Amino acid sequence: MSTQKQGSNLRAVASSAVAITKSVFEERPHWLFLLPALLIYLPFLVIPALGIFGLSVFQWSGLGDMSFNGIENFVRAFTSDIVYTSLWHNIEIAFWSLVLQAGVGLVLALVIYRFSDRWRQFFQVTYLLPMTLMSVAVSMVWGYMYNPSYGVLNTVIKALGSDWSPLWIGSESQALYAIIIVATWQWTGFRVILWLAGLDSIDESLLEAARIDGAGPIQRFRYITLPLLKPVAIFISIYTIIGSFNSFVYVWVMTRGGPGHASEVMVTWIYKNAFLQSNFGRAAAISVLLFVIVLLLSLLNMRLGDREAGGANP
Amino acid sequence: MFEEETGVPVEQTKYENTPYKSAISNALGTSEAPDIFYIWPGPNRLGRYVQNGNVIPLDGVLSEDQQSNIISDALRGTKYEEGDLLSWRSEDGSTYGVPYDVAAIPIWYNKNVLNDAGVNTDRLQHATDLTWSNFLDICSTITDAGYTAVECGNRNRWTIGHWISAFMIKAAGVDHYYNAAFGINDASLTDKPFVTALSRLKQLYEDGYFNRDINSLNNNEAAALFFSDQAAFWHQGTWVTEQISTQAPEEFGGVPDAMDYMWWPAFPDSYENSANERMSVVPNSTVAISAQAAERGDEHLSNVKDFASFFGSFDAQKRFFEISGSPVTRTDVYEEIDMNATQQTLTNTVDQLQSSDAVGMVFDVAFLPETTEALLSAGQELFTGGDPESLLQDVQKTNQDALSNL
Repeated sequence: MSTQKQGSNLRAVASSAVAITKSVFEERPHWLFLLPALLIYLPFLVIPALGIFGLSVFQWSGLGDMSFNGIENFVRAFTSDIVYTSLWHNIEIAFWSLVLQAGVGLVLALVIYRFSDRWRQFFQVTYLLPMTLMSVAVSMVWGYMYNPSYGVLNTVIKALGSDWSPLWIGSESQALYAIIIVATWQWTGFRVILWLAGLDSIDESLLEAARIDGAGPIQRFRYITLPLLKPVAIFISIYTIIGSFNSFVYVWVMTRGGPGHASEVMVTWIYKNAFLQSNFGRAAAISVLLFVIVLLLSLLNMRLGDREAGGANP
Repeated sequence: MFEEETGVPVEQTKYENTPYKSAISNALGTSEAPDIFYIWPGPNRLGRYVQNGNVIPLDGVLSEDQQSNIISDALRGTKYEEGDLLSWRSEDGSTYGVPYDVAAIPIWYNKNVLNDAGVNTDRLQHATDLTWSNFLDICSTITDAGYTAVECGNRNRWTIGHWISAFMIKAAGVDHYYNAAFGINDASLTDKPFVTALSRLKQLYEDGYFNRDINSLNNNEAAALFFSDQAAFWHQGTWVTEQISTQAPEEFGGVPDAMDYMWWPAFPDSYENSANERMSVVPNSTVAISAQAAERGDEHLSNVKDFASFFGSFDAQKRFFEISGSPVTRTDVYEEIDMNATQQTLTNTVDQLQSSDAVGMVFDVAFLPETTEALLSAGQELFTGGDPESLLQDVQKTNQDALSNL
């Protein structure tokens, strides 16, 4: 008798759960579509990310017990010269990536855009080729090219009759720029493709009308092309900046952040704290700092994107 | 070999050196930890696992016969008092690893280069008493002849770590070196002998004796230049034969025809007993048993202990020496093998280590991980204008923080 009662209770609970779920999805169907993504996003991204916040207030070697140490990891992070040095290097990478990848990418896109379809496709494929290579392999090859004794770069400089013999990744003043050059070589092509997509979306009739009204090429670019490329420009710039703050592979493979800390970036310093110094709490604290920076940049991206969308509406 | 003899199945997992460090740390925190694993013996690795209770004491695993044949310093290098990382090498401690090889780390010289530069190599052969000023004079003669005196590839950073370790030991002595690392007896890494050590390294670079691109090259690139007769000196552990086979040109004569070793220059002006103490890695490799293995049943643990003991057996060590060429911890192995000239040269380093007054480990094995990292970075900054005194102050601060976190 009692078993039958329990069974009917369970059926009642199950049927109400189904009814609630059904009503939620009927009233808010977008949750149904978000559910598959959430099932992956929550356990593998959101919860570990929250775990980093928790870890940042503990001292933990990666083994054994954790001990709570309050804001100690943050105090050490904020009073560490290396954190500021790394952050500055990220800012430098972001600045030069904007100038070289986004800026030069735009110039190249404007040039290619004028070509016939066949040549345009040829250049698109050519510029995209470096992007298809693994960054680790690219870093290793460039590492050999930068070799001061027998690397191709110094060999060419010497063949040109110059006595200049740079140390490249072995030099405190050149290492970071040597890395930026590699990133530029690999990723400028991707920016070219994005700019080309933006150029394609511009209505030719606007440019034609301006031409009829007597606008020259510079005026057409300044007053029509550039404003209409603004959404793409925002995307490229934010994408480039966020990518710059997540730099790791080139630095790790080519210099390990050296010489000394001359090319140290936030992520290599986080990695060293966690996996070389076994200081997971401090690594988590620096990760939180990086997370906040990247989050603010992402919010800025969304805000600017919203403003663009709002401006486009009548 | 062990499987054939005992019928106990062994499943192996292999890793590259760098990923192994994080892989084994991760594994030891799970129920999937290996029963037995390779590990470096000092506080930087094995010591951390002792501190956290990830490994079990191996007292009784090695028989008395095994222990009597193993180099005593190698056994001592695996001893800790329970849960105490800083008790490393304590005579009262328990054994936590089975040591199976040793690595001497001397300076190798290229005979062709030295002969061409007019340097008498007889004076250098296996020398322990060459002084700092002798070494500078030789470097000067070599650079005057148009060669690089000392080739070093410091892009990977660990290479200069060996120079720093050797110079610190030569300038301060082994005891002072360990005391400073572990904050004992008021010793500090900012003490004058350590400043002397780093200043002399910097001097080698500024006087043009190190290759100018020291921070640009990796160790293999530096080795290739040494093997191709472009530099007189290059340092490496006694695992050098493997590097010769991969980096040297075919016509290179190897050890001892084309290259031989000397010990690091002594600094008697800084430390009186400098010539009689050495820097090396004794032991180099050990195997330890995880705490999880002890929870997998008595019979299982007994098999695991037998396997650990196997690493200290005569047959296993003999086979290891024959295959790898690296000196092993059991000295009776050397008496049983008809050694070629290369093996004789390499094992001669073991004799010299045993006859020394003290052997200090390289700091990336002996020091705490945070201190190691700081000192490796300082080892690059020395050659980009860094001041030895202020670099050591930073390292000391890091070391104090690390010690206070224990």
